[in-house]
Amino acid sequence: METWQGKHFSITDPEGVNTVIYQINKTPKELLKDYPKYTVDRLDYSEELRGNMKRKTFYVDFPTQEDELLILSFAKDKVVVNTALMIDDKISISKKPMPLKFDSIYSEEEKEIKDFKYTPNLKRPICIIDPETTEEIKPTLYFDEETNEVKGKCKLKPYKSYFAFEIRDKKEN
Amino acid sequence: MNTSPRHNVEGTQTIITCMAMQATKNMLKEGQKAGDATKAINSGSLEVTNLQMPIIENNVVSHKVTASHREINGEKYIRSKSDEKRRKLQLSIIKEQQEQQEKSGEEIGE
Repeated sequence: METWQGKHFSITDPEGVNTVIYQINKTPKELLKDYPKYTVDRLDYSEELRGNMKRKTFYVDFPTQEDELLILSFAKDKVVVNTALMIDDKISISKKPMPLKFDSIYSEEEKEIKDFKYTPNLKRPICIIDPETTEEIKPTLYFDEETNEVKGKCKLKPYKSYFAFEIRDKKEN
Repeated sequence: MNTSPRHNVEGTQTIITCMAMQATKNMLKEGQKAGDATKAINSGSLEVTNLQMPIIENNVVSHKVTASHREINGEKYIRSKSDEKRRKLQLSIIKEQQEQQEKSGEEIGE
């Protein structure tokens, strides 16, 4: 059985903060016909409670020589976006994390909640995250008989904030 | 103890204890009085920690990976994803990174 070396590192989330980390992969030229230009892998993790904080260990099972990581820290109505570079046995964190605040929509009136569908473009992967649970909203695949194509659809709840991101080159618009 | 300033007072012995003191190098600034605190220099840098940021440990540790498991400290843990395609992507990325390093090494040599 083939074995290779993976890497892991730890972070500690303060109370009320939930961090998820993605590994960003830039597709090599020889595989561009099979993959979009960038793909992301959500890192597996294990956690242990330390008082009212959580120490999480994230596992990079497919490391390369130089890996870029996207660190998303979700709090009550905010997400802090940070990046890091993992080279050999060290992680370097960006000095300028980007906090994003999202509005929560609250209404005293009763409203009918309907799910609405959003069809993702599989060639342009956009990750959608529910900030309350930090779970990804993954598309379910289905076969469109009219266009004869395999498509995906995501269920999104109205009046609810979601966090979405996409990795692009700086030069692209 | 003999407190008399005179030496050799009959029947007593004066014990004189002294120690060497290095000259004080701190100079008082204008307006400062003796006993004012001298300037203290801090080492290190002050960082404001945002309570909502995770604390990230700098060190990265290796572990063994197979198609289905990861092995840490002798214990095997099933991986949630088992994907041959992903391994192929990893190897391809490493290969391209090495080629780019060799190429930039050649350019620097030129």
